[in-house]
Amino acid sequence: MSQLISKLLILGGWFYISLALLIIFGLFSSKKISDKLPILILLFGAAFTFLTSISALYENFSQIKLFFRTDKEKIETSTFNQFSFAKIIRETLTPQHYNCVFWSWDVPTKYIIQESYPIRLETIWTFESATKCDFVVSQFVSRPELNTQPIIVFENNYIYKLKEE
Amino acid sequence: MSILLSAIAIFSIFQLGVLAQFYLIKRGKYFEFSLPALFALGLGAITTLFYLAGLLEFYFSQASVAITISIFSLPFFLDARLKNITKKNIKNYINGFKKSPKLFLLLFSIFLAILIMFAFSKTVWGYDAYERWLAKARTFWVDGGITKENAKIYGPSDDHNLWPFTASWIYYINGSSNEIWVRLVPLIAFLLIVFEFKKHTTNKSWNIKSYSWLSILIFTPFLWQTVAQENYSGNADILVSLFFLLSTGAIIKREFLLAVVFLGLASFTKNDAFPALLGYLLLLPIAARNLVGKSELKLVFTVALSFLLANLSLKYYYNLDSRYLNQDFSQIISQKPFLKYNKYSLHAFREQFRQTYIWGLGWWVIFIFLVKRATIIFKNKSLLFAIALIGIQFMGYITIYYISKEDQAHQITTSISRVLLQIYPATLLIIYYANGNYKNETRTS
Repeated sequence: MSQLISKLLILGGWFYISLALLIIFGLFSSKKISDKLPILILLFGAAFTFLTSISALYENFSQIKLFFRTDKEKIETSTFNQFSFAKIIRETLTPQHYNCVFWSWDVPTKYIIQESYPIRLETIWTFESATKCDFVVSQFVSRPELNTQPIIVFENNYIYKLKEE
Repeated sequence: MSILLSAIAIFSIFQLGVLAQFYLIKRGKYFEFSLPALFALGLGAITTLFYLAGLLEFYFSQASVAITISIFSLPFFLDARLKNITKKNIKNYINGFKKSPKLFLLLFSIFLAILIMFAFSKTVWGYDAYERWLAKARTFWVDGGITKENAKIYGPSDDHNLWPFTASWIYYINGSSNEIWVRLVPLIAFLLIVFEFKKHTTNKSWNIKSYSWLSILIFTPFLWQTVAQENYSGNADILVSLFFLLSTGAIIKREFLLAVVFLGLASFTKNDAFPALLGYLLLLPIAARNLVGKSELKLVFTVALSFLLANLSLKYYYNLDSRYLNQDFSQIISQKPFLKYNKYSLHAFREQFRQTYIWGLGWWVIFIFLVKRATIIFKNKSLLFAIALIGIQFMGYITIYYISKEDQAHQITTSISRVLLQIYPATLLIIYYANGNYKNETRTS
C-alpha cells in the first residue's frame, strides 16, 4: 500500500493530485460552491502562470542591457565571431575546391556551414578524413597535427590549405 | 536601417494577406480585417510566390522583390472597393484599441517592451535554426529562390519551406541575411496569437474571466520564451501554433474554408502538422454535415484535397526526403515493443504537462475544464471536431516518437515542449468555448 502511495506521489505530484481532487470535489460539492469553483480555478491558474513568468523574467532581467549594443556587437558576440569568420571563408575559398570543417561544437559548426554558403563545407571528424580536403576550416582550435601552417588566422579560428593547386 | 527594412517586409506580408483574402476568399466582398488571418494568408502568398518562381525558374533579387511589393500595393490605390474597406478597417482597429481597458493595455505594453528587448538583444542561436530553417532561408536568398538542388541541400530536408521563404523575403528586402531582425516574425506570430485569442475571449465584453483566460495564454512561459530566447526563435513551431489557433477558431465559428486554408499552411510549415490536415479531410464529411450547405462542403473538401496534393506533389518534384515514412515498418514493429515504447512516450507527456516553469498552470486548467465540460464538448459538433483534430495531432506525435530512427529519449527531450506548443493555444481556445462561452460566438449558417 505504501509503495502504491509513493508511486502515485511520484507519478502524479501535486499537479495531478490537485487536479484529481478538484474534479472529484466539483462533482460532490453543493451547487453554490460548484458554480464558483470554475472562476476560482481560472483565477488561480492565471495568477500562478503570471507569477511564474514574472519570476522567469526577473531571473534574466540583467540581460536586458544587451539590447543597447550595436547590431554588429550583437552578431559578433552571439555567434562567437563566426559571422566575420564566415565572411573571410567566403572571400578566401571557392566553391570549386573540396572544403571541409572540423566538427567542433554543434550550433557554431552548423552556423558556419550555412553562413559560408555558397562555399560548401563538408563536416569531418578525424585527421584521416581531412586528407581528402583541399582546405580545412577549424573553429576555436588550431590543428598542428595537419603539419601545415594556417593560411588564415582569425580570432582563434583557422583555415588550412592541404593541397597545392 | 535594418529594422526599418524588416518592418517594411512585415508590412508587405500583411498587404499580401489583404489581397489574398479580398480577391481569392471573399471575392471582392466587404470583410473585417483580422490581423492574424491576414498575416497567415500573407505567409501563404509568399510561399506560393516562391514555389511558382521556382517552377518557372525565375530568380528573385532585392530589386525584383521591391518591384513585386510595389506592384502588389497598386490595388490599394486603384481598386476603390479595396481602398474603402482598408480605410474602414483601419479606423475600426484604432477605435477597438481605444475601447480596450487602459490598465490592461499598459501592462501588456510593458511586458511587450521587455519581450522586444530580450528578443532583439541577440541573434538567433539554435541548432534547428542553423541546421535547416534559417540555413535554407540563407541559401534561397543567395541563390535567388528554391531550386531542385538547393531544396535538399541541408538535411533533414523533408519539411516544406514556409518559414525559410518568409525569412528569405526579409533578407531580400534587408539586403543581408540579418539574423537579429528576422526575429520580428516569431515576435509578430506571438502578438497575433494573443490578438486572435483576445478576439474570441473579449468579443462581447471585458470581464475577469476574459482577463484570466487571456493572461494564462500571454504569460505561459514557453510561449513568450519561444520569442525571447535565441535558441528557440529560429524554429517554425510558433507559426504552426498560430495556424492551428486560427484553424480552430474558424472551425468553432463554422468557417470551414478558412479553417482548411490555415491547416494547409501549417502543413506547408512543418510535416508535424500533417495529421491534423489528414484528420480534417477524413472527418469533414461527418463533422460539418448539417452545419454548412452541400456546395460549401464540397468546396472545402476540394480545397483540403488540393492542399494535400499540392504538398505531396511539390515534395515529389523537389525530391524531398521522408525520414519517417521511408522505413521498413515491419522491422520497427519487430524491434520496438509497441506498448513499452508508447507507454514511455505517454509518461514523457505526463511529465511535460506538469512542468510549471514551462507551461505555468496552462495544462492544469485545460485538463480540469476538459473533464468538467466533456459533455458540452461531446454535444457540440464544432467543438468535438476541433478537439478531435487536436487528438489526432497528439496521436501523430506519439506515432513519430515510436517510428523515429533516433533514440526515443533523445527525440522526446529535444522536441516535446515544441510539439506541445503547436497545439497549446488552440486547445486553450477550445476549452475556453467549452467553459460556457460557446452560444453567442457561432455564426448562424
